[in-house]
Formats: sequence, C-alpha cells, structure tokens
Amino acid sequence: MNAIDRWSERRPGGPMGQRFLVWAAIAVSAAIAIRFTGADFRRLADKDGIANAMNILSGFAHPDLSPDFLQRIFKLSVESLFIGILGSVVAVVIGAVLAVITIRVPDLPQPPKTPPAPIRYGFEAVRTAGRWLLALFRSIPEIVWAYIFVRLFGLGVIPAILAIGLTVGGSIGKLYSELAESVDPRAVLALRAMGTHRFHILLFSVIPQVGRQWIAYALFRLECNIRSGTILGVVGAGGLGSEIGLAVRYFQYDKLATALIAVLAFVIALELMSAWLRRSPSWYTFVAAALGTVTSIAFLDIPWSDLLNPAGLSLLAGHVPFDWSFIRAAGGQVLDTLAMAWVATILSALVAFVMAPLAATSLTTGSYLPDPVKAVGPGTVLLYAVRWISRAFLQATRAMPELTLALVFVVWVGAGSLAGILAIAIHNAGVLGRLYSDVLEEVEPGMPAAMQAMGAGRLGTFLFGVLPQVRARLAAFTLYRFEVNVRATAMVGFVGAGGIGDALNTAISLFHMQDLTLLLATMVALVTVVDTVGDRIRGAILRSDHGNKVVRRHKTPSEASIEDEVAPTAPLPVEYGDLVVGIERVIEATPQRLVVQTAEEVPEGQCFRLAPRSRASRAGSGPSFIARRVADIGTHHYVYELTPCSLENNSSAWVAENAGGWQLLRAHEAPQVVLH
Amino acid sequence: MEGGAGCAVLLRGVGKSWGQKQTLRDINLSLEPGDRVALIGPSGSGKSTLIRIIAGALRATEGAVEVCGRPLSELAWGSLQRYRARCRIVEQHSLLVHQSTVHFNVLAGLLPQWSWYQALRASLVPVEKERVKSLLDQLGIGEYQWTRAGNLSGGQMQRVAVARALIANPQILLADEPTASLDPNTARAVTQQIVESAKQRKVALVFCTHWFDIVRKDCTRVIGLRAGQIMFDRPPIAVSSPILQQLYEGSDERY
Repeated sequence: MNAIDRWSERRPGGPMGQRFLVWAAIAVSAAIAIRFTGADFRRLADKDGIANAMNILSGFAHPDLSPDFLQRIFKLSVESLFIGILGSVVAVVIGAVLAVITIRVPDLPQPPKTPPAPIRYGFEAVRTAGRWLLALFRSIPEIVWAYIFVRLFGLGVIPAILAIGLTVGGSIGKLYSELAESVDPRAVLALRAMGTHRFHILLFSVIPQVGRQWIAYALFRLECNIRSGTILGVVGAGGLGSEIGLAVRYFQYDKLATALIAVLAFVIALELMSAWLRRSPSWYTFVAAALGTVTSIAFLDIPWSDLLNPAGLSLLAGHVPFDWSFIRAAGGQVLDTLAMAWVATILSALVAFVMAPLAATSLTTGSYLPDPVKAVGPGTVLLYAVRWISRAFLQATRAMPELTLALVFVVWVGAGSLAGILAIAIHNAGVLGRLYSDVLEEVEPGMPAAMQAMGAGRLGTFLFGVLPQVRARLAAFTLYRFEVNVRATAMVGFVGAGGIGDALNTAISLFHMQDLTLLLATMVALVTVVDTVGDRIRGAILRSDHGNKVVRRHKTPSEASIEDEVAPTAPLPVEYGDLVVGIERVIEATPQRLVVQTAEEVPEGQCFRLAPRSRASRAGSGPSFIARRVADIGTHHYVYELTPCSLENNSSAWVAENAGGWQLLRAHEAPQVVLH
Repeated sequence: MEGGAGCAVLLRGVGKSWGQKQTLRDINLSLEPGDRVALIGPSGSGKSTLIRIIAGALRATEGAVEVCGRPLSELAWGSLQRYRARCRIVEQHSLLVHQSTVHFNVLAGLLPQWSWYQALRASLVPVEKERVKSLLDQLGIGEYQWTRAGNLSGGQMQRVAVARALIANPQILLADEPTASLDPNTARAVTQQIVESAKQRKVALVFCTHWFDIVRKDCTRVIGLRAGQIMFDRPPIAVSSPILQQLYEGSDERY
C-alpha cells in the first residue's frame, strides 16, 4: 500500500473527502485569481455601469436602419465571408507545405546502412524548423497577426487573410502531419525496402491514404475561419469587425447595435448553412468551397501590389534600446492572463453545468425507458419551454465571438480585466454548455433507465444515474476550454480588456520590436506550456475514470461542428469523413431483422456494418445491414429496421447481446470528396 | 557494376539475431541470374528474415551479403538504394494504397528511378498508361487499371503487387509467401504467374512457400530452411518425401 492510499484511508469519508478537497482547491484558486486580476464585479451594476449599459441598450432600441448603412453592413458581411474563404485557402497551402516538410516517414528497422550523417541531420533540422514554425503560427491568435499585418501592409483585407492563413495554417499543419504519421507503416516500409525516397513515398503512399481526411478537415475549418472573418476588422483588417470597431470608438451605439445584430445573424446563417451542407453529400461542400474561392478572388478588391512592398517595413528598422524591466512586466502579464482565463472558465463552467442538463433531450422531455407512458400536462409544456430556452441561450452565447463581447463590455464596465473575463465567460458558457449536453446525451442508458423504471425523478436520474458516468469527461472538457481561453485572453486584451493582449497591442502600435519579440515569445511559451500540461492532466483524468466503461464515441460531423476543436483527448475529429451512428437500443432482434433506435438519421438503402464502439477494435467488423426507417419517436429518436445486406450474416442474436456497445458504420467508405 | 546490376548475389556466413534470439545462422548461398529458388521450411524457420536480408532491407548481424564482390554495408548510400530498387519483394499482404487506383499503385514500382519532379508529375497526371496496361494484361487484370485498389479481391490485389514489383524490370524477385492469404485455386494461379513472369524475364526468383507442390516443376533449386539453418540446397528432382518430412518434422504444416 503506498503513502497516498494510506493517507486517503485515514481521512474520514475516504474518496468523498478527497473530492471535497478538489472542490475547495478550485474555489480558493478562483477567489485568489479574482483578487489577482483586480476584477470588481460590482462595476457591472454601479452608477456608471448602469448608465453605460443603458446607452448600449438604447442603441438596440433604435438601431441604425438607414438604407445607406444597411448597404454598407451587407457589403462588409460579404467581405467577411470572402476573407474567411481566402484565409482558409492560404491556411491550407501553408499547413500542407509545412506538413509535407515535417511529416516523419518511418525508416526500415535495422537497415544494413543508414543515409550519410549530413543528410540525416539536415532532414532532422529542417523538420524541427518546420515544427517550430507551425507552433509559432498557431500559438499567436489571429487578431495579433492581423494587427501586425495591418501595421505592415496598411488597412484592408490582406492582413485578415494572412492572419487567418498563419494561425489556422499552424494548426492545420500540425493536424495534417499527425494524421499522416498515423497511417499504416507497412505500406510505407514496402516502398522504403525498394529504395524509394521520402518525398516520393509521401506522394504515392502517405498522402493518398490521408487525402480525404485532409480535405474533410480543411472544409471543417472553413466555417470557423469565416466566423473569424467577422471580427478581425476591429484592428482595421476589413470585414464586419471594422464597423464595430468604429462604432465603439465614436460611441455610435445605434450603429454598434446594427453591426452586432448583423454579426449574430451572419453567424447563425453560417451555422444553418453548414448544418445543411453536412447533411448533404460532401461534394456539395467541396463545390461550395471551390466556388467561394473563385468568387472571392474575382470580387474581393485585393491590393496585390501592397503585398510586395509593405509600407510599414521601413518602421521596423528603427532601433529601440532594450529595457530589462520589461521582462518582469511580461512575467506579470503571464500570471494575469492565466488568472483571467481561470476565472472566466470557472464562471462559465458554473453556468454551463446548470444549463446543459436543461438543454439535453434525454434529461428533460425524453426518457431513458424504451416506450414510456406519456402523460401530457402543464409539466410537459414547462419542460419543453425550459429545454428550448436553455438551447436558445447556449446557441446565442456561443454565436457571439469573444472579441465582439469584449468590445461591448469595455464600453459597459470600462477597460480592464473585468471586461475580458466577462466576454470570455459568456462565450465559453455557450460552448461548454453545448459540449456538456452532448456528453450528457451520450451516456450508456442502462443505469438511468433502471433508475427511471424504479420511479426516480429527473433530478435523481441526473445526479445518480448520469452524472457519475460523465464526471471525468466534463472535467476534461472544462480543462480543454481553459487552454483555449488562455489564447482567447490574449485576444480580448487587444480591445482593452486586460492581459497580455494589451501589452501586445501597445508594442505593435509603437513598433517596439524588442518588446514585441519578447511578448510573442512569452505568448508562444505560455501557450505551449499550458497545452502540454493540459494534455497530460486531461489524459490522467480520463484514465483515472476506469470505473466507467464509457468509451468515447466518434464525433459525428454535426457534433464536431461546434467550435474549432472539441475533443478533450485528441484535438480533432479524426473520423470526420465516416458516418458513425450510435445505436441507442435494440428493440427487436431476430435472425431475419433487427429493429434499433438511433439518435441520428441513417441514410436509407446503403450498406452499413456494425462496429464496436471502441476505436481499437473497429477493425473487427460486424455484419452488414441495410437500414429502412420505421418511425420517428420525438426529436433525435429514430427507429430503423435493419435487414442483412449480404447473405453471410446470420448473427442478429449476437448483435442483440451487445446492444448499446455497437454502432453503425457505413460499410463501404462514404462517397466523400474523392480526388482524381 | 553499379548497384550490382547483372552480378550474382553471394551470402557468406550470414546470421541474424534479434537480441538473444538467433533467427539465422551461417547461411551460405549464391543467387545467379536465372535462378529460380523455392525456399521452403516450417514457420519461424527464418524465411522472411532471409528474404529481407537479401533485399538489402535488413542488416545481417554476422557475415555479409556481397554483390559483385562488395559487401552491401560497404556500398555508398546511393548504390545501396539502387541495389534495393533492383530487388523487389512481393509480400504476404499486398500492402497497396487502398485509396489509390491500381494504375497509381503499379507506378509506385517506378518511384526509385524517378526524380522528385517526375514523381510529382506522375501523381498529378496519369503517365505510362500503355506500359502499365500491357503489364496488367499479362497478369490478367488489365480491366482493373482505373479501379481503386481497395475494391479488388485478395487475388487481384496480389497480382497488382506483382505488377508493382515487375514494372521496373528487377533483377531479383523475392516472393515472401505471396499466396498465403489466398484460397487454393487463386494461390495456384498467382504462383504460376509469378514463376512464369520470372522465367520470361530471366529474373532471379526466390519463392518462399509452404506449398512446394505448386512450384516444384518450375524451380531450378530448392532450399530447405529449418531453425535458421540451411538443411539442403539441391535441384527439385532430388527432393523426396522423406526429406520433406524431416524438414517439417514436429510441425503440422502441410507441404
């Protein structure tokens, strides 16, 4: 027995006491962090705060709806769209090129001879440089890049496109090389054995194997990039953001209101559009993206010549004496940023924890029982109302970019860390709420169903049947969002909401090159450390959860859409290309047919195979079936009849035994984007 | 000659150990152009290891593989790569890129001779269409040139792997149980195609198999491998049932 076991045994309450300690630590750290950032929440409702809030609200009461202004807003919305699309193109080019440089192609084990040392070390050096470059690109938020480029190239769309290209290119490149390094090494080694060079192997073996995943991920990022296109303008980089920036600067609350409503409408329209595209065959998306690119290049007024001779370059030459005290200041900014991100995460987690169960179907209007007795009464109406209000709240908060919210709060409570904390907390509440309710809907239904059969109420089922299954994953998601929020803190600082972003803004404005370099280096180091440590802790949290055999289900496209990267363990929906549908329960199983309930629609008339839920054993495929829809029972509950699509299978009984642990996978690869 | 073109391959006292475990010991043999060797022996006797050592893909821990009188480990890096390109292995599993077309998979066999520019061009536009087509026709799968490799049956995939090995006119073809995962009829057909192709092109062939009967009439030599040592190396006419029984003693594999 080790020391920790003995220690926990001695304490009264055992694991319960341990849990209490964790909660206490979180509460104390949040309190310290609030003190440290100096955020005074009373500012929200003191005399000035209320006056400012009323000003903003009055803008919303009388938004500027003059035809001229509406036309301008429309033009800027289109510009945002084009910025997002072209930014994605640049990002994919940067990401793919750097990925090709950094991908590690496996070598033959124990070859008779290795390549000469200069070649080996040369490759290694180039690869390392590529990796560092990718890390640098993605660690610095778009807004920072955008402002740097605004200073270099002047106002306009170029800075925004380049900024999206660099930040997103950095994460695309990392992901692309991770995907490429996970291909079956035997096919690669077969080419190695016949003396093929690395580049040729990449072209003929590695890239064909991952090409579809690469394209799927690029299209997936497109939506996020278009959303970024709406905000980068606040530093003068074109799109809707530029109007918001101007309205805030000149206290034109009527125009601010119109612009904010436009952003909200734009983002929601975008989300609806991409939800539709995800349901359609995937070449729709591909064609839409290609058309968008051509249209953007044709209609967006890009001053290409500015790219070649950046006007701001001459300013870079100016030498500024280095100030050592600045290092201490940078250290303070790091702590400030961490504290802000932590407070915002805790606040939003509290909100999301309350809202998520209320937005989850299975916990409100649904039931875990197969065919429950439905008693319709005032209670049912109330439940539907609660669920829809919660969903609308989460949807609205998620749709508002942090940066836009930060601008509003800077007006409301004044510049400083409070505005930043509030902005991030509100946006993050929407994202976390969505993630939480997804997790809650994914639990194994056995335990809660048993409890409901015994007559347990909804709250009881949630607390004792559902929550114990998902606790670890909720914690992992929260931690993951903390990591994202550290980056977001640097962003909101740019509009005066405290943290390291404030200092970055000043350094870029004044072209203090040394300050800027130091701050960017600090930023990269901070993000890298937070990500690495976060990765470890999340892994430990999920591993410690062996009591629950909840295997992470593959994200379907619709789930993966919410925000950039949603998974707590891997930063990406790797299985994005495949359609994966979880079987919720098996209603009837005979050797001839199988009737199952699913939470998602299954395309009819296609062969699907049954696969175990865990990724590791996916290779062992089950029998194949064709689905035919039998009935819908409420939203997100579909009943399908499955009949064997080949003669070889007679194992429906075997499937029934494994009910719940299996899911449908499209038997042949989905007709995704195919490269020819 | 450069990279061993036209030379015999000579194994002198080759041994291989993985840590404590010795898989091959004191292998001496020479492989002349035009040789067709059936390499037989029970599982775990070191056949695959020997194939990889001959191909220059694996380091021998003792002895040396000599090409034109020079040990592989003393060749310049470029010459070793060229030697590897002249040896082609057909593996038990075809190891194709399932997402690409058959044409593309066969072209991969030409990669070692291509510059990066040629490779890039070939990956974007289909090149060498006729050459690939005629080779596939010889192997009876010409109609599948533009099919995705993943949609083929096991026997067809194995034929594509053979085409990938043959397209670059190798000097040595090393078949490592290429038919082990096929049904008996397909296995026989694929085996015959490999042996025929080797005969026509005067390629030195090493064919690793458990089904000695299929290759008996076409090979020039039979090497029996047991526990990492050569038990016999003689013409097929001199391989009798008792010898085979002795070779496979203690294992319940068929031969």
